[in-house]
Amino acid sequence: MNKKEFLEQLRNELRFFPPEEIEDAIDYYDEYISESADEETALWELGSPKRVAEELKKEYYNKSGSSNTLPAITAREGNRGSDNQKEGSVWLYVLIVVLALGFGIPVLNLISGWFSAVTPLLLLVIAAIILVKVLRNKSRGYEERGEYIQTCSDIARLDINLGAGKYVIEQGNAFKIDGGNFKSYISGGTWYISDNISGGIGANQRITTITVPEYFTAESAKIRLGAGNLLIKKLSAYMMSLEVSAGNMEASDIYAKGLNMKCGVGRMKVGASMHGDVTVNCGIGDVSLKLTNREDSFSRNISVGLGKVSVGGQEISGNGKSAYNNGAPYNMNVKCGVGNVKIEFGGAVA
Amino acid sequence: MIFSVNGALLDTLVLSIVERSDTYGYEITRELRESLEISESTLYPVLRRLQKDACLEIYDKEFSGRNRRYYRITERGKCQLELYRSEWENYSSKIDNIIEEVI
Repeated sequence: MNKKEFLEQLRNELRFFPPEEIEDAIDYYDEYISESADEETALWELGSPKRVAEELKKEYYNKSGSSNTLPAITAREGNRGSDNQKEGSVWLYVLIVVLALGFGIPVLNLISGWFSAVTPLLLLVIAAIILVKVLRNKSRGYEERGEYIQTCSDIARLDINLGAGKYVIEQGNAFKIDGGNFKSYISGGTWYISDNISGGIGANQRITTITVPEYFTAESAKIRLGAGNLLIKKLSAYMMSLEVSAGNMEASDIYAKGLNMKCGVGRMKVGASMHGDVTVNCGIGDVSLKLTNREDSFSRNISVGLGKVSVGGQEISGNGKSAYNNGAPYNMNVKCGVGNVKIEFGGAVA
Repeated sequence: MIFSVNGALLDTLVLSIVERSDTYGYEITRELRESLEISESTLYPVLRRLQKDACLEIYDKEFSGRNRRYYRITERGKCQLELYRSEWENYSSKIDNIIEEVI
């Protein structure tokens, strides 16, 4: 590996950091390697780009030292601990049962011949119970009520499914969820959140707040809202997918490379800054999208049924189609059934 | 090396080195590694944090046609260092007391 390759790989390892952090780190190590009399030795001693990135991530996430300005990821030990506890307790169950059977059965057999007919059945039943418990634990992940904090280095993607409650997604100093009744676990670098509120009279009116770190840019963020109310204060992702069935979603300060919006019967109001394609799919509902980008940054492909679509200055309604390719860097695809889609450009992010 | 150098202790060392004279990353690392076993990738995050905490400030100086980023200690950094120095005196003498007894 040479310096160029090292720096490229380091850049890749740090890709979820804020851009200025990445540039500073690359500059530092570029200078560092150049200072050394022998590039080969310097690279060998630095180790792998992955390890260098790990050091940076550790420092960034660690509250120790004199800093009080860095984002704090806390309760790391706590969460790992509870996870281990769940694993440990299952094996404890198994051990207890095995011991009980080991001692119990011979004793029972001695007491009565009748028992010897029952014990195989008993064994089967107990084994089945343990199996079910283990499988349930594995697939369920962990359920938490109240506050739940997770370590950042595990999370690259978001997959959020919300029901009929009231929700807020915002940036803060950690990954956490506050309030409500939800299911949350991390698998393969994706943070899965799904909420158990089903709505109706007496539905939980408490607001559930989901927080991600300020510097976090998700590789992909999939957010689905059922019949509830969601406010996204600020969120950044390479691929952002927002879906509303019957509820109300308001999102501001969205930064994305690709945006996919889908609205069933509900309402969506989004303010975004784009670096890539936009797709809007609206059934019966109402979609309003305010982009900071210029109108001529997008080629467009619009089709509308009985509803109405207005993109910048262009308005189409009543079974219309319009395709307009001006060689622009990004594409905008809008499909609207009976609903209403309004897309505006060049304003401040709402 | 048996005793690890990290956290506040590492901050103290870095601030001390920069206080003596403005210097750049490679040089700081070299000086630390003369006497301590720390890895090269340990220093940058510390420098970055001290800079963000306004204990160090940076400026660029050209050297042999390339750019060198120099670190300079700030007033706040000097203050912090004084604190660390008195803390270290306190801490190390307590350790010494216990260790000496055992010997």
